[in-house]
Amino acid sequence: MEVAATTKVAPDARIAAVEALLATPLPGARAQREAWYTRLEDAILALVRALPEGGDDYDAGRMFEFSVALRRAIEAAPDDADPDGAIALAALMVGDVVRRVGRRLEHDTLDDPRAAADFVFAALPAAGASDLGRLLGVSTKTVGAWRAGRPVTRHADRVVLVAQVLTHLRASMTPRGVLLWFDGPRAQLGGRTPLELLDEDGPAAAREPLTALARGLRGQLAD
Amino acid sequence: MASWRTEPERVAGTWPAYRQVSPRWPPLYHAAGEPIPSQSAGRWHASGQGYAQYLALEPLGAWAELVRYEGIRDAERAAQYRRRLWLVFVRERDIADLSTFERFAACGLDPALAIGPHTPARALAQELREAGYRGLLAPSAALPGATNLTLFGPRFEKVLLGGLAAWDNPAPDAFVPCSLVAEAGPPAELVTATRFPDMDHEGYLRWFAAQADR
Repeated sequence: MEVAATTKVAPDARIAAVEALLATPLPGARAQREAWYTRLEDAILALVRALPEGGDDYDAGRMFEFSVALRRAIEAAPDDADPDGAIALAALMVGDVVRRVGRRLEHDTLDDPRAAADFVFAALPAAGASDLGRLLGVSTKTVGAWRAGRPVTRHADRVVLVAQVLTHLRASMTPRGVLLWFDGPRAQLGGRTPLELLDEDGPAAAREPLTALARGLRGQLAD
Repeated sequence: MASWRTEPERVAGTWPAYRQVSPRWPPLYHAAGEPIPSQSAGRWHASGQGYAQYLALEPLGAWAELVRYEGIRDAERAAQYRRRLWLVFVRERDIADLSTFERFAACGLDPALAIGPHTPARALAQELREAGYRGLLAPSAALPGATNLTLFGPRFEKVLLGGLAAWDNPAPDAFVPCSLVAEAGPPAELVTATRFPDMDHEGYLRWFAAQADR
């Protein structure tokens, strides 16, 4: 499907609009359901237009696919009912894709080292320059310069990686917990701490194991 | 040819189970439309090879999995976590009952599969999936005495405030009713009660000693 890309409205605002509609209880009457679906479809189209690749984005295709399934389920269901759960299921599947797009765009934003540094400082507001310097692999003086808005040129890969790991951690723990997480020995890293891995192997080698470790926090695993 | 000598008993039933999850994510693992499954690897599935719903039959079992995975060995770290603990009401069939070390041994399987390295456990899980099992019960490696229930494949939550057992599920293969229990962190006593990968597992040792006494 050809959808023109635009950057006029931030995609995260579009994502929030789709998620808000998906969180709304589905109306019972057919006419109201169809009106709800039309609003959802408009919001999805607006989101797709806001994506850098527009309709060519892989997940844009999945959103269209699942929204078509949702429309068909609404058309097939009687008033006030979802007898086989198809409406609820399709809505959850649209939600999965929208959530994934949101996370991808967040990570893309953090590929910019300056944005990544700002993200780290905002996520760890009470952390001192010493703790931040250890985390980012720079001196307290450099932390001060970055906090003052100076360009992030040194250790940019490490700053980006730390910020992206933080996106996985911060919902599950306090800012203090994040700092402790980087200093906790991990069986998955052969007994090393995440910080030791970063210091000893560098951000390129640490990216995959640290990201996998942090992503595992999404939900319970049997270890 | 499967690695078991005798096929694990297939059980059907209902199980109230527990699962702790990041507050940012839904209670169950689903990621519709992914080109490659993104769920991090666990004992009973490898990364990129589908999904699994990891549940515990006891709430402390759910928390112990977090403590073990995260390597939380002191109360200060435990106090920093914020998770959602969900009650998940499972009504399932074709579950492999490997809920005790004795049951592993009775099938000709090594009971250490439940608590040891993940690679052979994942191979067993793959055999179970190929044999049509929809999940398995197994002893928890993280908390001796606790039991884990793992469901193979994605499931979608129906979040309810109550009445989970009575909910008329329109698509039992897809939906599982869930209810929020708490938003909290792991109890501090699990810092010492949890078995980490570098520790002995008392339940396994007891089973092993009992075999030697026979």
